[in-house]
Amino acid sequence: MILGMIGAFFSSLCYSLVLKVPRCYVFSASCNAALSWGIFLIVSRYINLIPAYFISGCYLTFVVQCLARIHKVPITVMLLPSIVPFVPGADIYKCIFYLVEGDLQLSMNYFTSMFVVAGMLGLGGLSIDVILDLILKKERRYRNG
Amino acid sequence: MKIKDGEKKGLELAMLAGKILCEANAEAYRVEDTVEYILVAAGFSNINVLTQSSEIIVSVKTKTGEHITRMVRVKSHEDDLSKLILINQISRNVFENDITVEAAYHETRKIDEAFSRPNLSSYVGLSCLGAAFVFVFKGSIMECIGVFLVGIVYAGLVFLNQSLGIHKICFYSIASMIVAILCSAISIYAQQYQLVLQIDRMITSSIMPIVPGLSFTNAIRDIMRHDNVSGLFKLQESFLIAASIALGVGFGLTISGYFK
Repeated sequence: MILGMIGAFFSSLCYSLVLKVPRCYVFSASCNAALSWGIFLIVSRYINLIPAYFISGCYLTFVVQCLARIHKVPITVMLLPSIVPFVPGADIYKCIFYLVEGDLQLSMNYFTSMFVVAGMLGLGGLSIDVILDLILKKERRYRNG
Repeated sequence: MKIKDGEKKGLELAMLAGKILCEANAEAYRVEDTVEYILVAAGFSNINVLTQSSEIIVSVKTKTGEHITRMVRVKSHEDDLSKLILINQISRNVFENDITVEAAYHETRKIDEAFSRPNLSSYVGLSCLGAAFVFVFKGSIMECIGVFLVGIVYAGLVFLNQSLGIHKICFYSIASMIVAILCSAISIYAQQYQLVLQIDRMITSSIMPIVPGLSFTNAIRDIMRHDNVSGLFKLQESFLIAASIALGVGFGLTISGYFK
C-alpha cells in the first residue's frame, strides 16, 4: 500500500510537470493525490469498488477546494494533478484494444468500468461542490442585463 | 458602427483571454466566466457568452445601445495550466479595477506570444510518468526500471515530433507501436536472467502519458455541469485517441510476436 501511495505521489508530480503547474503548487497537489489514493486503497478493502471511488472522489475534491482557496488559484490547477492516479486511462485503452482483438465480452467489461470510475469521480466532486456552495452561500457579484 | 476606443480594447481583451484559456484546455464554464468578468469591467451590458471547445461567441450591448457580436475560432489545444493561472489573475485584477484595460491587454498579449512548447521539466515528467504508474498498478521494481527506459524513448519521440510535426493521432499510433515493441523486447531480454516481467502491465503503464484518461474524466465533469457540447467533443476526442493507441499497440505486439 505504501508503495502504491508513493507511486501515486510521483505520477501526480510527473503529470503536473507535463501540465506546467508552477512549482509552488506541485507539492501540495501531489500529497493530496497520494493521500486520496491511500484512502481509496484502504476503503476498497472493505466495501465495493464503486462506492470506494465515490468516497475518495469526495475526499479529493474537498481537499482540492480547500487548497485552491488557500493558494488562491483556480480549482483546475489543483484538481487535474490530484485526480491523475484515479483516472481510467488504462480502461479506455483496454476497451478499444479488446474491441480490436475481437473480444467483445472483455471490451464491454472495461467500457462499463471506465464510465463507472469517471462518473463516480465526477459525482463525488459535484456533490462536494454543491454542499460547499450551499454552506458558503456563493452569490454572483454581478447580474446580466 | 460607433464603438468607443476603451470599449473596443475591452472587447479585444476579453476575446484574447478567452482564446488563450480555450487553447490551454480550460473548462467551458471557466472561459465563459472569465470573458464575462472582463466584459462587465469594460462597461458592457446584456452579455452573452457561448463557449465550445473550438470556438467562442460573444454578444454584448454597448453604452450607446448597439449590439455587437464577435467570434473567435480556436484551432490548437495544448495543456498549459500556468497560462490559466496568469489569465485568472489578470481577469481578477481587471474586475477589481487594479489595472487598466490597456495594461491588461498588453500583459495578455505577452502571455499569448509566450512559447507553449514543452520545456525540460515536462520531458522529465513524460519519461518518469509511466514508471510511477507501475506502482499504482501494483508492479515490481524491475518493471519500473523497464518502463522508465521506455519512457525516456517516448520523451525523445515527443522531442523529435516538435520539429517533424506529424499529425497528432498518427503520432500517437506510431509512438504506442514503438512502446509496445520496446516493452516486449525488454521482457524477452529479462527472461534470459530469470526475471518475470508482466508485459501487459508494462505496456499499460508506459502508454499512460498518451492515454486520454484525464480528458475523459473532464468530459464527464463537463457533461455533469450541463456543458454538453464541449463534453461530448472531449468524449469523442478521447475515444479517437484511445483507438489510435490500441491500433498502434496491437500492431506492435504482432510485429514483436515474430521475433520470439
